[in-house]
Amino acid sequence: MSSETSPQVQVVTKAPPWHGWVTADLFLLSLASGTFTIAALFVLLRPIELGTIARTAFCAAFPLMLADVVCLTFDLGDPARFHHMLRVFKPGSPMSIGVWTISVFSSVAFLAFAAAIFGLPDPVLQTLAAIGLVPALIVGAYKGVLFSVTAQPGWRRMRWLGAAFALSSAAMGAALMLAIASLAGDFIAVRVARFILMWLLVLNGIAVRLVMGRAGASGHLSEPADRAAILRASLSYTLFIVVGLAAPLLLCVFSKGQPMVDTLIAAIVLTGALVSRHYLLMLPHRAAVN
Amino acid sequence: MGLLEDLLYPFRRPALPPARIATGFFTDTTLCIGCKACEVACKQWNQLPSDGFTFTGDSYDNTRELSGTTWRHVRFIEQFPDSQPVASSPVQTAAPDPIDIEALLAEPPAGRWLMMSDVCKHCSAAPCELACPTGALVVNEFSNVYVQNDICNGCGYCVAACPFGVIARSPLDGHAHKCTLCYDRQRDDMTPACAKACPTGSIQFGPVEELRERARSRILELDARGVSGAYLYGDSPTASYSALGAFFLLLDRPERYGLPAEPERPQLHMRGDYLRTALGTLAALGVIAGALLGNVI
Repeated sequence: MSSETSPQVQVVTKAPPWHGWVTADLFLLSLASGTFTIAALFVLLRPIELGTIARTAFCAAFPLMLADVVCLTFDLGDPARFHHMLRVFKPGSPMSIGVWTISVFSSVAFLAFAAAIFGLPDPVLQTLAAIGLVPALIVGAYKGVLFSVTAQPGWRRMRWLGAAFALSSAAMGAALMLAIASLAGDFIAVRVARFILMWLLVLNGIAVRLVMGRAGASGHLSEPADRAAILRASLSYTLFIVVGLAAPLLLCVFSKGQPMVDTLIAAIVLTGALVSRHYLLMLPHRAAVN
Repeated sequence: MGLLEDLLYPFRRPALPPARIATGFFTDTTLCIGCKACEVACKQWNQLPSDGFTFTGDSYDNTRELSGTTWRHVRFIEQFPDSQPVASSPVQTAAPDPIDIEALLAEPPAGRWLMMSDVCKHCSAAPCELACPTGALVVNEFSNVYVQNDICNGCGYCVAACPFGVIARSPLDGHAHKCTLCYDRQRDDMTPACAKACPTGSIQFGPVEELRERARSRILELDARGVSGAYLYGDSPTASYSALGAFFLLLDRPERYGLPAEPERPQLHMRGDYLRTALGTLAALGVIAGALLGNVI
């Protein structure tokens, strides 16, 4: 049998109908949760030195979360049915876990926002920070598992994607904190945020290596669809790794703490995070066009 | 319905109907003639819109795939030697050789057609149903995987979860759709439209255990008739996937029919993925706490 009209190697799965709104959601959710996490730990562990900057960060976290909820709603096929997500709680569905955690997190983020705006005393903010910390960490990481437990080429073999999301969210929060502290002229916070960001970028590099690193080895790329999806994006990912991780890391190490450089570092990290999320989201679509 | 009723309605839970005998489809591809009566019957009964008139150039397949508006899809797989260009023949002067029927019958076949009517597999442990965050996807009283269209909000997670590429979001209403195994007809003790319309008995409907027995007998029958290589796809669970409520008798590798060779339940790795995520989260917390409790300040 030497010819067939139907292709022999084909992508069987359908790429999910997720595009721009979901890219924005991935970015905003990570940024909001990361910012809240860093601010919560600032106010819990160093309220005297870092409490002021933490309040500013809480003021940023909630609007980011609000913008994310708008994206989450409009990426649905039927946005008017957003509340249907809350009919059931299914621990076996990462999306269900995510929706319920987002509901808790956004409520706490709102209260922390209000507490920061109205200048409520530290113990109030610390209580809210303690309550919101675990939901914030889950919200920052769950999307990785949401993607990895699908049947989609590219995502289905990314066993460390959740860890990469956890570290990336924290790094994005640290980057925003660095920008806020730098613009506010809070040099203690700048020093702490730079230190945290630097190490999170290193860990993020390791996580990205674990997610993508088995490229070429048996298993990860043994299926043509996975190979096609990942290799098509490999150049972009290389650029992301170099620009999004190495460039800010080098700037952190070699710059002397100029506010402009700190803002540039934050901008590079956040741009890298946005671009990488877009490429990640598009992997199944890239496999489908192979 | 008022706004309040709209909000509350999805949270109401009617009593569940009592369980009935599990039903399914057995599709015997050796009997399929590619007539597409199943596609038409499905569209007609379920009032699904036309997908337009597009010439794909892919054999007789102008439907291409299962979708939110196509719940049955007949695949055509042509397996023939490369076609030779036909030379423009000169005017024939001599009479052609007489045709010998016996000689023609003895000739080995030049190739073959494979045809298969594809459909939702109604997996016993359906990844789409497990993934659905709204509870719109349920297993009904016939053990079929069913989408409640008044509940689905079109999040698309079921699309990502399905290893067979069956379920899809319809651009018409934004909700996910797929074969219902004619739930409405079954409730009235009627055969699903596709099986009813199939003129060759390629699509067989009935209690799934009975169908499995019938399918195994059919394999033996084909073997006795000299049709080698026939096997059942999805009739029993594998190490990585559950049995299918709609299973197939195939003559070639699953990939030739657009089926995954070894489907894998996506949720198999979930626990490990959560553990690795927890490790990443702890690492992030360690860095932040270390900086705040150490001598960075």
